[in-house]
Amino acid sequence: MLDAFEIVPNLPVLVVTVPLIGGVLTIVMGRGKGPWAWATLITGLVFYFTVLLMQQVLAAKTGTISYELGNWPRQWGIEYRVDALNAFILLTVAGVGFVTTLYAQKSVEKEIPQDRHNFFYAVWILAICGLLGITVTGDAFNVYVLLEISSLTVYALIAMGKDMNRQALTASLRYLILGSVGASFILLGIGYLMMVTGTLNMEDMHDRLAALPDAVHNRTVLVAFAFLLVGLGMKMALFPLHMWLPKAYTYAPSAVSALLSATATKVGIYMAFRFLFTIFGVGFSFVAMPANVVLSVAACTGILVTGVTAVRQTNLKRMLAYSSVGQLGYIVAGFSLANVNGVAGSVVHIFNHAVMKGGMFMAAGAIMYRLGRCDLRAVRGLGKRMPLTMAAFVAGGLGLVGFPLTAGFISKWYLVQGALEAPHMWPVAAVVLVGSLLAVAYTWRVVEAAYFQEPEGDSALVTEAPLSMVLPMWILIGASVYFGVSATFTGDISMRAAKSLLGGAP
Amino acid sequence: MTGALGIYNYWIYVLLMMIGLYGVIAKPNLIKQAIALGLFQTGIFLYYISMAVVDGGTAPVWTTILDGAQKYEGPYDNPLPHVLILTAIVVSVSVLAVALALIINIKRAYGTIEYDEIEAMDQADKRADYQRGQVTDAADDVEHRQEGHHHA
Amino acid sequence: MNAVVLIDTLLLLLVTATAVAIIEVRSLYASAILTGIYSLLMALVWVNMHSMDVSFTEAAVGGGISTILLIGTLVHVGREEKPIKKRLHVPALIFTALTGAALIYGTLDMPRFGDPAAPIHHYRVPEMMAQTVGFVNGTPGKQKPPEGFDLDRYRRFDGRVTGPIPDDPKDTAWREKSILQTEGLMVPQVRAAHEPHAEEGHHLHPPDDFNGHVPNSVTSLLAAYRGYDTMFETTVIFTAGISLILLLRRPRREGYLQPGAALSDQVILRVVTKLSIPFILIFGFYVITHGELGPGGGFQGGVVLATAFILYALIFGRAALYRVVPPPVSDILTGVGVLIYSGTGAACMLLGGKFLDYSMLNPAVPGDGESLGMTLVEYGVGLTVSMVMLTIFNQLAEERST
Repeated sequence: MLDAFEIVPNLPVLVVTVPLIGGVLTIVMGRGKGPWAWATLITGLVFYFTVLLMQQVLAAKTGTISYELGNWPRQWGIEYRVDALNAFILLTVAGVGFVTTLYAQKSVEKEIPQDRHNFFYAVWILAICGLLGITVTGDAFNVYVLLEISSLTVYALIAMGKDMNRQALTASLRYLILGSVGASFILLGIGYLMMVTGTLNMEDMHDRLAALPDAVHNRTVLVAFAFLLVGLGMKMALFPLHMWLPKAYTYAPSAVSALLSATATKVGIYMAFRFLFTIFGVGFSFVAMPANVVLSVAACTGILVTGVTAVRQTNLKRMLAYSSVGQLGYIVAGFSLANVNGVAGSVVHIFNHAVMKGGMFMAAGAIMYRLGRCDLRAVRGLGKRMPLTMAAFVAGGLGLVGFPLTAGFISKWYLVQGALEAPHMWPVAAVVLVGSLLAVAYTWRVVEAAYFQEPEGDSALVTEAPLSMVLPMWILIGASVYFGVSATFTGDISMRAAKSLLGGAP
Repeated sequence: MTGALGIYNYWIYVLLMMIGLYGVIAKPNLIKQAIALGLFQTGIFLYYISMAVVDGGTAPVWTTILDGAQKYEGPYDNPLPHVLILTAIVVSVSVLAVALALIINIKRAYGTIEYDEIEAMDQADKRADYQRGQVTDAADDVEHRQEGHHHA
Repeated sequence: MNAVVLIDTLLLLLVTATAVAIIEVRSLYASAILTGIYSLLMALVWVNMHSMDVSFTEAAVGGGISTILLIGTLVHVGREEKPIKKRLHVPALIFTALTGAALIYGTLDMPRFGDPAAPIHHYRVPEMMAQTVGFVNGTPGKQKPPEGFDLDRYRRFDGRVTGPIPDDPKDTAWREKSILQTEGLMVPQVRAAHEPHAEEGHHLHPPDDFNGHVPNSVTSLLAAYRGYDTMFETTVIFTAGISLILLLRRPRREGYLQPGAALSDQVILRVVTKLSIPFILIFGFYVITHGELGPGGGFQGGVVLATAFILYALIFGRAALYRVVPPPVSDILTGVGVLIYSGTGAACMLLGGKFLDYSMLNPAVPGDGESLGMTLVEYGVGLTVSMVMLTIFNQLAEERST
C-alpha cells in the first residue's frame, strides 16, 4: 500500500501537516518530559523537511514548486506554491522553531504549571504549523485561515505568562482585539479582491487584476489595497500600528518571546510581500500607488522613535521588543525601495534578525530563569557570573548595530546600497545609519551594566544558565556570526527571491 | 437592481461593522469589547453573503439530483462566499471563546473588567515597584500614557 | 423591487437597531441576550439570501453556543457595566466615520447587488457548481480516456451515465448531450464560462466529480474543492478548545468538580430532558450525514450534538455528565476529530495521490471515493466541534464564581 508514496513530491504539504498531526497528538504525551521530547521530534522533522524543500526549489528548473491539494486544478482548489522566497522563510521559521523548542524545556518547566505541559506544547506546535502554513500557501483565503490559527495560538501562549505577571493577560487580550481587527481588515480586503477578480488563487488574482481595465482607478481595488495594507501593518507590527507588541513580548513566557520575535512578525512581512508583489504587482503597488512613500515614511519614523524608546527602557525584554519594532522597520524600508538590492536586503534581514533577536531573547530568558527578573539592575555584574549568556547577548547586540562580520552588517549593506540606487531615497540610508547608532546606545547600556558594574543582591550568587539553554542560544548567535562572515548562501537566495518578486509573479 | 438599492446591502454591512468598531474603541468594559468585536465580524459576513446573491437565484442545492422529475433551470446563488463565511463564523466563535477565557482570568487577577481601572492598577503596580527600587522604569510611564491615550 | 430585497431591507433595519442596542445597553446580561437575538435575526437574513448552511451555523453557533458562553462568563464577571460619564466617545465616532466612509467609497465600483454579470458568478465558480472541476477536458492529448476506460465507472447511483466522454479534445458537444444538460444542471452561467482547463499530472476525475452524490454544492466546496481550508477550520476550533483548557482548567489536585446547582429535582424537566436527548442526538447525526444532500454538515451537526450534552449537564449536574464523558476522554476526542480529517487526507497521500485526493479511496469508482472521503471528514469535523463545545462549556462552568 505504501509503495506508491514518496516523500519528495509531497514535501510542501508535509511541512504543514506533520506539525498539525504532531501538535494534536501532543495532548496524549503525558505530563513529564514527554510533550517536550515529542515537540522537539516534530519540529526537528519539519526542519529537515524544509531543508529538503529548499534543495528541491534550488534544483527546480522554473524555481517554483506547485502542489495542488486534493488534485483539484489550482484555479479552483487550493495550491501550495514554493519559490526561493518562501522556501527561505520556511527554513527560517522551522529552524528557529526547532532551536527554540530545544531551549524551551527548562524555561517552560519553571514558568508553566507542570500539569498542562501537554496542552502548552500542543498549542506551541500548532503556532509553528500556522506560521508555516501561511508561508507555503498560494491561496488568498487559505492565508486568512492559517493566520487565525497562528493568532489564536499566540494569544494563548502570551497569556501563559500570567503566573509570572498578570499583565500578560491584558497584553494578550489587547493583542487579541487589535489582531482580530487587523485580520478582519485582511478578510475584507480579500473579499473586495475576490469580488473584482472572481478567484482566490494568488497568481490567478494577479492575472485578473492585470487584465482589469483601469485597475488603478477602480475604487474597489483601491480600498482593498488600503485595508490590506492596514491589516498587514497591524499583523507585522509596523509603526505606528505596533501598540500590541511591546507589552506582549515583555510579559509572555521567555521561550514564547523568543519564538514570536523570530517568527510571527516575519511571517506578517512575508504576507505583505505576497500581497504587494505577487497579487497587486510592483507596478500597481509601488508605481501607481504611493505604497513606497507610505511604507518608507512609516518604517523610518518607526526606526527612530522605537530606537529612542528602546534606549530609555530598563527591562531587557521590553528593550528588545522595541528594538524588534525598529528592526522590522529596516525590513519594510528595504522592500519599499522596490529595487533588487533593497528587496534582497529586506529578505536577508528577515533571516538575520530572526537568528539575532531569537538568540537575544533567549539570553534575556536565561537571566529570567536564574533571577526571576531581567531589568538592568539585575544584569549588573552578570558578565562574570553568566559569561556565556552575556556574551551571546552582546554578540547579538553587535549584530543589531550592524557591526562588520555580523549578519546585521550584510543586511545593512544591501539596504544602504538599495537606498542610494533608488531616486530620492537617500534619507532611508541616513535613517539606517542613525538607527545603528541608537542600537549602539541601548546595547551599550547592557554592556555597561554587565561588565563595568558590581553585582548586587541575588546577582552576586547566580551561576551560568543550564547547558540546555546556553546551547540553543549559541546555535542562533553562532548562525548570525557565521552568516555574517560567509553570506554567500543567504545573499544568493535573497537576490534570487528579490529578482523573482520584482519580475512579477513567482 | 439599480440605483441606490443596488448597493444597500453593502452600506448596511459598513454600518454594522462601524457600530462594532465603535464599541471596540469606545467601551471600556472588556465583555462589551468582545461582543462588539463579534458585531464587527458579522458585518463582514453580511458583505460576503450579499456578494453571493444572484437575481432570481435560489439556494445552491441541485434539486434535480434529489428529484429527477423536477426541472429547475437556474440560476443558483454563488456557493463560494457561503463556504468562506462558514469558516469565518467558526473562527469568530473560537476567538470569542478565547477572549472570554482571558476576561475571566483578568477578573480573577485584577478584580475588575473595566479597562481604565485595569490600566490604573498597572500604573499603581509600577509606582510601587519604583518606590521599592526594583525597576527604574521612567520610560515605561511615558509609553503607557501614550498607549492609554490610544485605547481610552 | 423583488421580495428578497424588500424583506432584506426590513430585516437589516431590525439588525442595525439591535446592534446599536447591544452596544449601548448598560446591563451586560441584556447585551448578551440581545446578541442571541441579533444572531437569530442574522440567520433570517442569511435564509433570505438563500444561504441555508450559513444560516444553520449562525443559528446554532451565534444564537446558541455564543450566547451560552457569554452568559456563562457573566456569572463570573458580574452583569453590570460600570457607568461611564460621557455617553458619546467623539474620537471613536470620528475614527469609525472615516473608516466607514472609506469602505463605502470602495463599494461604488462594485457590481450591483444580485448582478449575474459579476466576475464572481461567471469566473471559476460555475465549474464548481456544475461539479466538473476535476474533469480534465482541455489540452490535446489529455482528454483521451485512460487505457481500459470503462464507462461503468462513471455510472451514477441512479444507474445513469454522466458521460459520454469524447475522444476529440476540441469536441465540446458532449456537454450538449450530457446528463448535465438534459437534466437542467448546465445552467446558463455554467455554459457561458466553461473553459478548458488541464494541467500535467491531473488524473481523470469523473465528468461529474461526485457521481451525483453531492447535490449540495456548498458541501462540495467545503469538503472537497476547499477541503484543506476546512481541515484548518476544524483545527481552529480544536485550538480554541485546548486554549481554554490551558487558561481555565484548575490544577489537577483540586479536582474537576465544584458543587454546582443541578435542576434534577424538577420532575418535568428530568422527564422531558431524558425524552428529548435521544432525538437531539439522532438529529445531530442526521445533520452531519445529510450534509451532502442538503443544508447541514459537520459544524452544524457537531453543535447540535454538543447541545444534548450541555442540556444533560444543566439538568442533571456536571457530575452526571462527567460520568458519561469524563474530561480526559473529551480532551482526547477533540483531537480525534482533527486526526480523522487529517488522517483521511494522509491516507489519500499514502495511497499515492495528493493530500486529500479522496478519489484515491476508491480508484475503481473515483466519484464514490470522493463522496466517501467527504462523509469521513464531516464526521471528523462533527466530533471535534461537539467535543470542543462541550469542553468550552465545562471550562466556563468549572470556574469558581466570584
